[in-house]
Amino acid sequence: MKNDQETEERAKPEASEERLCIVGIGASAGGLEAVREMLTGATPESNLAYVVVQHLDPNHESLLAELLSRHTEMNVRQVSGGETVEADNVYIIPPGHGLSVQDGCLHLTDFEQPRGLRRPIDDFFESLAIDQGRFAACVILSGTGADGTAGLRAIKEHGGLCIVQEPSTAKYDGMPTSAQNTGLVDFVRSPELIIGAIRQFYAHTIIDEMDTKLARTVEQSINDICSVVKTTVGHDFSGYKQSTLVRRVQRRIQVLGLADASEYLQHIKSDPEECATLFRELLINVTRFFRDKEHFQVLRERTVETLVRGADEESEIRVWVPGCSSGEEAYTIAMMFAHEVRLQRRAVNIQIFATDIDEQMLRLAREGVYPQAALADIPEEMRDLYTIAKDGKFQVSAKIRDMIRFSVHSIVRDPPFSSIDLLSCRNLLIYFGDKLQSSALPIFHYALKPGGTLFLGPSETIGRFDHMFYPIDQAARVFERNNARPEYPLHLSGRTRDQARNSQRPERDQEESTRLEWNDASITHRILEKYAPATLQISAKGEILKSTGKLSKYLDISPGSMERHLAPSVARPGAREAISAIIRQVAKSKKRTISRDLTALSEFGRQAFDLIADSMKDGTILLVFRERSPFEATDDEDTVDLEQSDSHVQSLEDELRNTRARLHTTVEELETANEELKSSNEEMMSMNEELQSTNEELSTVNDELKVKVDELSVANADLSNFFASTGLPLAVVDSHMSIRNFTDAIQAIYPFRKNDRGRPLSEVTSTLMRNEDILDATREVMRTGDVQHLRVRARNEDRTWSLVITPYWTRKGSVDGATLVFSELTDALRLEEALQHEGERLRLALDVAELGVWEFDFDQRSLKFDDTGASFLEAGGGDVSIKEFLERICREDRIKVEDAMRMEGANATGQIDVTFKLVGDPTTARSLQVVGRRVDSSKASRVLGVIFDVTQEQEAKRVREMLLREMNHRVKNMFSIISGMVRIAGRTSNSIEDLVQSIETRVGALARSHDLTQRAPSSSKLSLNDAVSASLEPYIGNAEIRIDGPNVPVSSRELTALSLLLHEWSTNAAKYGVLGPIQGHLGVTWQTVSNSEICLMWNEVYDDVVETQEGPSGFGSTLVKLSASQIQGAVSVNQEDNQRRITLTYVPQI
Amino acid sequence: MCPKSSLETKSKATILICEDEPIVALDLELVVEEFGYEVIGPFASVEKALSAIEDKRPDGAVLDVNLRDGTVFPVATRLAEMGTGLVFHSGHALSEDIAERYQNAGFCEKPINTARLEQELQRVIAFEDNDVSSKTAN
Repeated sequence: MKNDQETEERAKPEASEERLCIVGIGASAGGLEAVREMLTGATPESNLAYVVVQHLDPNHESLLAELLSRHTEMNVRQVSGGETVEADNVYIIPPGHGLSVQDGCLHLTDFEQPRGLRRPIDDFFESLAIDQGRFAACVILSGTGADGTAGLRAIKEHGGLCIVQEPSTAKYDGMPTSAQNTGLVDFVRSPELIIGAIRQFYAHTIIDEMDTKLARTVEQSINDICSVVKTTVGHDFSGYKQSTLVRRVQRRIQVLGLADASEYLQHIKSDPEECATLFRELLINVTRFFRDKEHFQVLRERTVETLVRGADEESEIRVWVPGCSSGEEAYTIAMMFAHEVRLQRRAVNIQIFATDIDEQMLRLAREGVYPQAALADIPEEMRDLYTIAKDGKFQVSAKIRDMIRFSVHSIVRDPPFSSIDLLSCRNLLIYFGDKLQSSALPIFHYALKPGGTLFLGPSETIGRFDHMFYPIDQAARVFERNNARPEYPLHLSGRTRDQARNSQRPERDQEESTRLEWNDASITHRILEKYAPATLQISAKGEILKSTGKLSKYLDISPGSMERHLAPSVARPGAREAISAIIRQVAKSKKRTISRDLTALSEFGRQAFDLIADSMKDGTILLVFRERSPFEATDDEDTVDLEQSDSHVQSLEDELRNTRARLHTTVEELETANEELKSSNEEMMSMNEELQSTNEELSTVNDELKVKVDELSVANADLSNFFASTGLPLAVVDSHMSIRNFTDAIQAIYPFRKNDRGRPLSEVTSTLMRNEDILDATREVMRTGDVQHLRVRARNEDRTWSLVITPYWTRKGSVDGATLVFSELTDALRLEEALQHEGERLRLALDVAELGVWEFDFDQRSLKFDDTGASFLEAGGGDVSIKEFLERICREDRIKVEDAMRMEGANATGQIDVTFKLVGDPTTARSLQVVGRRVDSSKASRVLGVIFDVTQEQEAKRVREMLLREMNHRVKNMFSIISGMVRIAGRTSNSIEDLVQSIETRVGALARSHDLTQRAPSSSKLSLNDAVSASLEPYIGNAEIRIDGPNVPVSSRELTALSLLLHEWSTNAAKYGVLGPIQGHLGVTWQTVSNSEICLMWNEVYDDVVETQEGPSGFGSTLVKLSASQIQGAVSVNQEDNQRRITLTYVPQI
Repeated sequence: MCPKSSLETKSKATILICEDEPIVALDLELVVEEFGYEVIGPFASVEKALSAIEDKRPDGAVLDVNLRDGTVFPVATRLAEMGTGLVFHSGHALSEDIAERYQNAGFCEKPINTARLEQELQRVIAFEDNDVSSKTAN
């Protein structure tokens, strides 16, 4: 009760969620495969949890969890006790323990029984049924024996779901078949379909709302369903407890996968089979031998002992077990009485009536054959006495079976038995509603003798009928009837004419008229027993169906087992022939027939009678033996006659007696031997059981190992394929440095052969230099467990490998050898070398060209310069942000550079080429040029480029432009001068010839002075000496010329003026002076006088005194004047007889 | 080269010449005299030119841009203030801003194109005369 409440409370908070359903899986031999197949179909995210209970060898570690986890996505784990069951988990029973569940929590239990009698599956299912009720499901898979069958009953009784593996798909079909034979199984499926069936069943249940909704619809139509069952089967369940009815009908709906109760109503109306199934379903209850042992103990002490002790030879102890189901309870009571009788060493007549409404169950009960598993419930001292082992099952011995009379009987419908000493009705009333219960107890009161005992189930009470019974032991539910007069219960609900049509017992039809008047069945019973002629009801073939009256005079059979006999074959001589004749005739004619004056002979005597055969409507025949005269006992005289016979006979008699005595002894000996054999047999049987369970456990272990071996083979195949296919040279050595394994690729290093496995590595010659180092390193790795990296080269130096030596770890975590993996580096090294060369060359080129290298990262917006580049920028090496970079550029160029850099990012012209000046003094600041190209890689785009110093080029360009400008200016000036000169000359010339000549010579002078400027080296300035020498150059040789003076620089402006001056003077001298007609010499001297004035003297010294001829003071003297004024000089001429001296004084500009 | 006699009838107009190249200066002087003007200068330096115009206003001026002691612009500015018609005489084209500063100034490129020089001189003198007369009228 407490559990139920807790379950309710737990369920409430998760009402809207799915309710967890626990699926118990029972398996034994061949179970691994079945469980695997079953769970392979299971997907997580369900509301199901699985608990696997497998028979395991207690001395052997189980691999079950490991093996199963490979086949399902769910968590698989072996239970260690205390786990709370959660959805989508698979829990595996550990070896050597049982399993139980309480409040959704798994607990380990210790086995009470010895090996061979353990039933872990039953135990678990029973606890599961109690704990989870209708949220429990059980699955029984392959295995021998019958474990699980009892557990399945429990599950079913509590409304859970029962599934059994289709026996034909099971490796061992013992367990599934046994379970199936209970008739309580909801689904029989092959393993892979089991989960689907469970899902279907719980489709309604998982969502609480749907569940209650379904229950409501069932409630509404329960009366209709009951009336259908009543019509079809003849039993009215409407008085049964409604909750039980609803639950069981609901189960059927779920099993059939129907939508609601109305659909089910349709189904049950159209299908009588379903009616029968529901009937069975409604009658399920769990029963066991000695169920509630301690209660039976009380019953034994308080009632059985007393009854046996109080019984005398004459009387009979009468026991009634209503609702006996498959008979365990009845047999239990029978055994208790038999045992008690045996203990008290008495002979007592005991009659037990065991009744039920289910014919099918009664058949099982009559056979008295039960699964071996149930044997454990019977107390040990009774086991050997009252059971007989029978091929994995056992049968209740004939002695016990004979004590019990099984018959179909309904408490609520049929007249009760009477004068009963003990009435045991356990776990029947709990299924009845209040009304039925309150009608059942008066019936019990009637049936029991005053002072008789009523024995009820643990959760049943006498309720308000405490005036009829008072408790002997309240806890054990043992009650004593009071001494009140029995009242016959008048409210028995008979059946109507309509319902009778479907009856399986047509004999009641005939008696109907009588029974309507004789309501008191005991009277009818009495009449039949005492006054009616002996009567048989037989089938048309002669099988005895029913009997009444004293038949022993006519038939030679034991009562109780009449049904199996053919009437003619058991009839006594004299009756036999008549019976067979009359059956034939009546079967044909269907008319009442009488055969008169017959005599039946028996060992006791003879009886004259008439035989009447009456054909019934349903085809059966009633045989009535009507006595014609009193029974004639065999005459005493006959005996006397025999006694009077002669001594030969006497001696024969004696001999016979002796023989009989011997025979008796022999028989006794035989019986003893037989007993011994029987007990040996028992021992063998139990040994066999043990062997069988060991065998099952071993086959489980074997299965597990087989799977493990399969997995290992696959792993091994994978590994060998890897070894065969890999290009990686690899070798494995063991702890003694012997070769354990290697790949084919290792041939390049070690010339291993197949049979080299096991050879020490040191013995094998390798192509490597310094093989010893490798061996040392390997030893080191094995010693320390640390990985080592080595670089090894081939002896001819053309190949290089990187060698990694790793320790070889065993599963236990110790080092057992090492793994040597070589990776070839030859190509990589070559490449590295080539790259290095390339790099060096590039560096050299950059250094020589004084190129800096830079790299621009778009994402980072930063520039990276190498040392040269950084020194150009006068920045530290490394990264420079674009902002910093731009700040280093002079204002005028900044935008240009920024644009160039930005354009790079946006459009992909891919090129950059920009020249700029750094900040600072424009004359001294560096000019730099940046050239780059965009490089796109998958990761980022960046610009790579070079930077170089273009200061000199820029300067040269500037100078060149300046020179050009200067030259241009000078040329223009020259044109102006010439143009002016031409105009001035034109005014003074007398003739064209004169004009041309005067212009020609002066242009020539100008040209010479220009030559002079061009001839002079760029670095030095022209001097006065140069100007003088150049002017006088055409006249060298005409006279002695002395040129002398300090070094005085001359500017270009001065040069033109000086050249014209000197030209005028020299042409004049050539025309009129010492350079021409007059003999003499010329001295041109100069000196610096005060105020840095230059005084240039042109001194013509004549050899003779000459009458000089003054040249015309025309154009020439104008030019002299103008030229002097240009250099702000003054010219004075001093003409004497023997010399002519011209003095020019001027201040040089420079 | 042909002497002009058209201006003989009037009293001779005065033309200031600034030129630092003596030959060119002489040539200019002669040419301008031939046009029938009276020449002031030529001056080779700004200094001399400025002192020359301290007390007299030439009617026109022919100015070389680069003189010995700097550009001629101080002289040009002073002359412009006095209402003298200006003709620049240079080896290079004048920059825009100079043209802007001395609106209506004439320009003759070196070497001398006498016809153009004469024409320009006539134009600037005539313009300035009108201008001056209109000023005096006020």
